[in-house]
Amino acid sequence: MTTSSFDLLSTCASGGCSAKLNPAALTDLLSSIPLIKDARIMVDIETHDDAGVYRLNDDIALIVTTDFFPPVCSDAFTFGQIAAANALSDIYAMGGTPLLSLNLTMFPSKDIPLEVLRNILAGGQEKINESGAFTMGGHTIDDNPPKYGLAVVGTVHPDKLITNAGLKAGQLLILTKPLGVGILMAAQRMGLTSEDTYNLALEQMKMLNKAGAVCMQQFGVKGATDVTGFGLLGHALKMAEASDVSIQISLGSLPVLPQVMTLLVSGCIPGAAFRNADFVKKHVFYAPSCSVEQKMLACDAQTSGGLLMAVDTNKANDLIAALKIVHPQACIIGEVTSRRSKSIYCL
Amino acid sequence: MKTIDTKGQLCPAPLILAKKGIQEAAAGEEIEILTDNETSFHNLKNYLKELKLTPTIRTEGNVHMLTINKTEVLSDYPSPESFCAAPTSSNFVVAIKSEFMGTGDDEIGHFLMEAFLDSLNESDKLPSAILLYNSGVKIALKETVTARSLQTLENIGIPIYACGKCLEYYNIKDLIAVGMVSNMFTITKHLTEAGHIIYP
Repeated sequence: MTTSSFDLLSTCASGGCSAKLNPAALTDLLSSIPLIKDARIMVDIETHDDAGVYRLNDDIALIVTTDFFPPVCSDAFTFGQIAAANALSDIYAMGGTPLLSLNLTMFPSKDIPLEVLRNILAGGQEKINESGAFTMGGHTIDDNPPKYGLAVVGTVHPDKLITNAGLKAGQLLILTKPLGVGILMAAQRMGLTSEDTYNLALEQMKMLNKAGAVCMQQFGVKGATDVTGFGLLGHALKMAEASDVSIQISLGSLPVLPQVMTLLVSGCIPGAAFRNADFVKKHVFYAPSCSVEQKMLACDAQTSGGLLMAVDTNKANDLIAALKIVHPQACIIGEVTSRRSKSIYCL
Repeated sequence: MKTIDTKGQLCPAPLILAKKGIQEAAAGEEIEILTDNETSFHNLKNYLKELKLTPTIRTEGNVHMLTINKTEVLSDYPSPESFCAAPTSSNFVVAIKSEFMGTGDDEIGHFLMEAFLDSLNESDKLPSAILLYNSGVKIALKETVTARSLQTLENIGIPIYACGKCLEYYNIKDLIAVGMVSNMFTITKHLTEAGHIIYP
């Protein structure tokens, strides 16, 4: 077996953010473990934000986050890139800049050539370098299947922090990356995607949310998140609840990767999409015009997905234009309204 | 009877096989889908429900059997027959063009609107949509009795479309408590496609 041909996907049944624990079970279990409060903690787990934030002084707040998962693709270097981009994304979603990073690695040294581990870490390092952060070390456990990700510390000016709780009624919602990577990854495992389409999904997952974060600061965005394992609706729900608003999403206007809608029609719906759909069900109203495919797209677990941000109406067009330079499919997908009986309305 | 055996397979494979089998089956044919995985079973049930197919379920040992009858064409588009059929009970919309029911004194008009929505909630014939425009949008505002009734209707799945322009005109967009903020395109679509329209 040569290193370059080792198929990381052969090591696990489900990959990426769809390997997350059931969100409902996790919420329930965490509620029984109280946390100590501190006045300098600006964001803790309560608003289900992307990362924790601690105010060091009047000029700097620290953002801390971690994320790791089993392989999402066959190639080790690509997997490293995607896992790192995904972990760094939480810092960007809070409007911050990555500063320090640690590698979190699990690797079965007896089953897979060590060169594969080198490639995973090299892929990760490439993205860490692109982010401008410094790798300070890491921790590696001998374990199967392999898992990789980062713990990241970032910084942000306390007044420029962007959170789930920052949405205001009347704002418009923008999504930067098209949806459907979960569906495409499931389809790839079954040999149902074209190579071109699958490569598009990989390219998108590798892409940092760095430019998106810069745009958010430029246009004064206060409320945003990155769309990952809980799907668009799961993350939108967390924002709606944290901000005490309702969100209205036009499912027909969602940006989507090629081939995804056809796959959905054929029944290619990953288990994680059903799990997410169950999780949001009580809080979402679907207009009868929403098709099952549209609903499932909105619940598809994303790995290293795009930023979902709320912006004042008068700045939306300029923000979209700025985002489009890096994210050509960035578009308005809905709006924020005052709190209504449901957290999310899908049209 | 057509059997789709998905035993030993994990999602999304059972869903793909099920969808393909349903599409290939003749109209009226009975289809049986087999699975031995609990997650796939749960997902198949939800998927069939979304496709508006209600399965009969049997379980023997660790094998679940979902039986469906392919009575209707598998698509979100109504069948040709349903276009020709006379308006049925669910094929009506309620268009509320004012916050008051009827013409006359506003106080009684307001009271009547509350009573109308209460009665609608108790009716066995429910509308396919409720449209709110002009001052009609005001019945969806926070802390109104009417909004509470609308909420009950929304909870059972009836879509409520409030005219966004109207909310802006009356400067009450921040006060809406129920329903979707909509536009004239959607409202017109519902008015033109309705079997009949009720203007309370």
